[in-house]
Amino acid sequence: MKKIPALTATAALAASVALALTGCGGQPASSTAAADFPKAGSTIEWIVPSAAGAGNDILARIIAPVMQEDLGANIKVVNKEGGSQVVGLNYVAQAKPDGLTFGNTNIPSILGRYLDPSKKAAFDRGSFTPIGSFATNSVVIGVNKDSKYKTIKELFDAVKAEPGKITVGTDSRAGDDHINLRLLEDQLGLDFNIVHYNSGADKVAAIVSGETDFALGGVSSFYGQYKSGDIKLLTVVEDAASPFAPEVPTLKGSGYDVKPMASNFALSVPSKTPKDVVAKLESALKKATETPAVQEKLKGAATQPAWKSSSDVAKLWEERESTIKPVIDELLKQQ
Amino acid sequence: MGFDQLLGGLATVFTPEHLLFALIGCVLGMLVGVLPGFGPAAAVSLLIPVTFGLDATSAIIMLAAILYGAAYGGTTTAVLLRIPGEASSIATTLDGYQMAKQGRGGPALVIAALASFVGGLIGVVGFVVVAPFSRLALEFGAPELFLVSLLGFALITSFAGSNPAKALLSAAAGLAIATVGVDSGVGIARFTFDMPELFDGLGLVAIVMGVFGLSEVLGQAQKGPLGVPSPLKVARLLPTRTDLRRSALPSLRGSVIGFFMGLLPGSPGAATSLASYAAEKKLSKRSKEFGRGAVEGIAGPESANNALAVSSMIPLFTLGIPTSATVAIMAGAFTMNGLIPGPLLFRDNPDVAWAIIASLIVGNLILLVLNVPLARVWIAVLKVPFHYLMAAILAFMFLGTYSINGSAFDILIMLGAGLLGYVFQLVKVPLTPLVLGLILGPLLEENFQRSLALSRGDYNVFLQGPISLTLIGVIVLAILFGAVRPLIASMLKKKTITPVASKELAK
Amino acid sequence: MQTLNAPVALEWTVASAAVAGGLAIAVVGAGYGLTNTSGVGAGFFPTVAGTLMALAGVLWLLQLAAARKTAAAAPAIGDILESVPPHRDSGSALVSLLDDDNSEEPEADFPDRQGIARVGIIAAAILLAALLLPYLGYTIVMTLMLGSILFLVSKRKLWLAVLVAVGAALASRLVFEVWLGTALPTASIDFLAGLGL
Repeated sequence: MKKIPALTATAALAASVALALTGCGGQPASSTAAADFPKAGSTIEWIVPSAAGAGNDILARIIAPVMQEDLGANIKVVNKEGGSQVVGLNYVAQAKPDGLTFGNTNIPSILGRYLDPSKKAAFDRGSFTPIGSFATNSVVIGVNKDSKYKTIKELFDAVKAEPGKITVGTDSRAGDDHINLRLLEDQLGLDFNIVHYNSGADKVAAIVSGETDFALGGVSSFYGQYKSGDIKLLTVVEDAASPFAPEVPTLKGSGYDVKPMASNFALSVPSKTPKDVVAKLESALKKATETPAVQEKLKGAATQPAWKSSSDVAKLWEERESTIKPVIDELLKQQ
Repeated sequence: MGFDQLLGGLATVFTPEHLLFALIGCVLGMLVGVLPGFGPAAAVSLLIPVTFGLDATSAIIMLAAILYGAAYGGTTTAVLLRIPGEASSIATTLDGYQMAKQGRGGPALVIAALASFVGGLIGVVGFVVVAPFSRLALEFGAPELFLVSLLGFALITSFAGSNPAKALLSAAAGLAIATVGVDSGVGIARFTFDMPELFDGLGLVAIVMGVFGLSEVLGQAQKGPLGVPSPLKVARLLPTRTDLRRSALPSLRGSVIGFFMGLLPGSPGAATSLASYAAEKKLSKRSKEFGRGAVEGIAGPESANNALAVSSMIPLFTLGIPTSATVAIMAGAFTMNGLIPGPLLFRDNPDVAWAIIASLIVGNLILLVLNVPLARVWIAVLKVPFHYLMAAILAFMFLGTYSINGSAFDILIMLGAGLLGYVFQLVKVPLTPLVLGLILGPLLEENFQRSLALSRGDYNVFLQGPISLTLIGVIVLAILFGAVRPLIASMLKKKTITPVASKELAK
Repeated sequence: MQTLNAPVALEWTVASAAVAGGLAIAVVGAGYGLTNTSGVGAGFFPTVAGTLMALAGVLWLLQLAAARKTAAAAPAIGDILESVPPHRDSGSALVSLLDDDNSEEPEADFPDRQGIARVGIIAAAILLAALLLPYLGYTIVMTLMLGSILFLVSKRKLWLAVLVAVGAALASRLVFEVWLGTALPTASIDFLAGLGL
C-alpha cells in the first residue's frame, strides 16, 4: 500500500522538474534543425479532430500514405474526437512546433470553434500556420425531387412570403451549414425555420423523405441523391458552376449577390513551427494533392481536389473570419 | 431486383480471389474487434488502407468482412470477459458471461456464431424482399422516432431485477448522464464544467466498458488473487442438442426484430439487441434462467445484431443514406472506390452491388466455419490464471478506451463508470437500465426537440399520421399490460395474503 | 456499525446519494431553462431525469426504513432479515409495481477490508496512469500500472511483476504502433522522449 504513493510522488516530482527544465530551455526549434526535417524513420501525427470513418478521416487516410512516401517519415492518422473538434484542435495548437504534429483546420468550420467563447477553445487564428489546402467542397442548396420549388428564386420568394415557415435542415447546431444559413439570412433578408440534425446523412434523409423543405450543405453530401434524382439541386453558392453539378446555376447567376461559401480542407501546424519545416510539409502536401491516384479518390468522394498554398490559405482564413464573425456574435447574443 | 441477381452475386463471390479477401477480412476484423474499444466502425476505418490497390468489388467485400469479423470479435470478449467491445454486445454479456462462468463458454461462442449466421442469412433474404419498399422506412420522421424511443423504455421492465425502485434509479441515472453535453435544441452546455471533452457528451463505449467490464474485474479482484477459481473451468466446447433446439426460435425472432430495427433511420443497435433479449425473456418458459446462463439470451440478441447489420445497409444501397456511423464508413468506402451508394449502384454496377450483398452471406459463413474450431482458442484465455488475466484485461481496457478518441479523458470516464457499476452491483442495482437510459435518452430528447422545431411548437405533430397513432396505441397497451395489470394483481394478492402474514407475525 | 451491517449501510448511503444527486441535477437542470419558444427548453430533460432519480432514491429509502422497522420488531432474527432484500417487507403497492420477476439476484459478495484495499489499489493505479499518461508516455505508465497491480493485488514477486509489466507494455505498444498503425502517447518530458518512450 505504501509503495504507490511513494512511487507516484517521485514520478510527479520527476515530471515537474523535467517540465521546469524544458520550460526554461524551450524555444522554437532553431532553423538549422529543419534542414534534416523530417528525420528518417520519425513519426508525424496527422490529427483528425473527428471520429474514425468521418469524412475528414477518410480523406486523411487517402492522402497520408502519399505524403509519407515523399517525406520519408511515417505519418500516422490519429483521431481525436470530442468537444465539436475543439479537443483535437487544442491538441494541435498546443503541440510542440517541430512539424511532427499537424491537423485538419478546415475553413470555415474551425471559425465556429474559436469565435464562440463558450466552446472554450484554447486557440485562435494566430495559433496555427497553414501548410496548405488540398481540396474544396462547394456549398449547394437542394430540395426533394417533387418539391414545388423549381428554382432558387421560387424558394426564396416563398421564404419572403412566409418568414420563419420554410424548414431547412443542418448537419449540426453551430456547424458550417448553420452558419452559412445565417449568412444567407443576413445578406438576403430571409428568415428560415432552421432544424438541426445529427449528421449530413440525417439531413439528407429528411430531404428525401420530405420532412424538411430544403437543405444547404457541401455538394459531396448530396452527391449520391443528386445523381439518382432523389434530390434536385437549385443552386451552387459559388462564382462558377461546380464540376460535379455543371448544369446547376450559381447563386450569383440567379441574381443574389452572395460570396462563395465553399469549405476548404486545410491542414495546419502550430504557429511557431520554423518556416522551412512548414515549406517541407507544404511541398509534400502539394505533391500528394497533385498525384493522379489521390485526385481520382477525392473526386470519387465528390470532393474537388484543389491546391491552395500556405499563404493563400492564411489569406482566405482571414477573409472568412471577417465575414463570419458578425454572424457568430449575433448567434451568441440570441442564446 | 430479386433472387436471380443474388445467385449471380454469389457466383461472383465464389471465386478463389474474392473468398480469400473475405477470409482475410474476417480474420483481421476479428483480431482487431477483440481489442476492447475497437468496434466495427473503428476496425474498418483502421484497416481501410489495407484495401488500397484492390479493385472495388474485392475492396468492399473485404471491408464488409472486416465489419462482421470485428462485430464477432466484440462478442468474444462480451462472453468470456464481460467486456462489451461495443454497445451492441451488451445483451450478449448478460447470459454469455454467466455461461462462461459455468464452464460453458465454448457453447456460448458457438451459439453466438450460429445465431449470427442465421441473422445474416435472414437479413440478406429480407434485403432482397424488402429493398424495393425501403423508402417506406423514411416515413419514420422525428415524431415517430420519438415515440419509438419512448416505447423503448418499456424494455426496462425486463431488466429491472426484483426491485423496481432500484431499476428506476439505474435508468434515471442513465438519463441524467445522457444529458451531459451541448443541448441539441438551444445549444446550451449542460453539466460540462467548461471542459471541451464533455461538450459532445460522455462516450457510450467508455461507459459501457466501465459499467460492465471494469466493474466485473473489480468485483473479482476484491476476493483476492487466489479467491477466484470458478470462471476458469471449461467443460465442453460444442453446444448440446438442447442448446441448439432452445436457440432456434430465438434466432429467428431476433433476426426479424433486428431486421426491422435496422431499416429505421438512426436506429440504435444497442437497444435492438436488448429488445430481442427482452422479447425472449418474456416469451420463454424459462425466464427465471435469464441472467444465469440461458442460451436463448445469446441466440436472440446475436441474431438481431447481425440482421440489423445487414438491413441497415438497405437504406445505403437503395437511397444512398447511411443510417449509422458504421454504415457511414461503408458509404465512405464505396465512394473511395468510385461507387456512388444509392439506387444508381443497381443501375450502373449491378454486378458489384449484388456481389457485395452476396458477400454478406459468405462473410457470415466464413465466420461460422472459422469460429467453431476457434472457440477452443478463445476459451484458452480462461485458463490463464486470474492474477495474470486480471492485469491483462485491465491493460487492454486502458489501451482500448484510450484508442477510441486518443484521449486519456475517456479512461477517467471508464474508471468512473466502473466504480459506479461496482457500487451498483454491491447494492444490487441492475446495470442494464442505466445503459438503456443512456442510449434512449438522447434519441428521446433530440427527436422531441426536432419534432417541435419542425412544427414550430405545435404538439399535434406527435398525433399526425398512421404510424404515430399506431405507436401511441402500442405505448398505451404497454402501460396497461406492463404496469396496471401487475398493480391490480398485486393488490388482489395482498388482500388475500396479508391477513395470513400478520397472523404468522403475531405468533 | 454494529447495528447496521456494512451492506445495509452502503444501501442507505447510495439511496441518500441518489436523492441528493437527483435533486441537485433537477435544480441545476432547471437553471438551463425549462421552456423555449418552440416547446421545451434545454433544462427539461435534466430536470425530469433528476426528479426520477430522487424519486427512486426516496422509494428505496422507504423500503430500507420499512425493513429496519420489521428488523427492530424482531431483534432475535434481525441478522437474517437484514440479508434478505429489504423491499419484500415494505408492502407498498408502488413497490410491487412492475415487479413481475421475483427471482433473487445472484448474491453479491461484500468485500472485507482487504477487498476494499484491492479495489482501491486498482482504481488508484488506473487513475494515476490516466493522469500521468501525457507526461510519462504510454510505455512507462503501462509498466507502472501493471507492475503495481501485479505486485500489490495479484501478490506476484516483485521481479516477476516488473518483468511481466515491462514485457506486456512493450508487446502491446508493438501491436498497436506497428501492426495497427495507431499512435500511442509518448512522453512530453524531453529526457524521456529522447529515450524513445
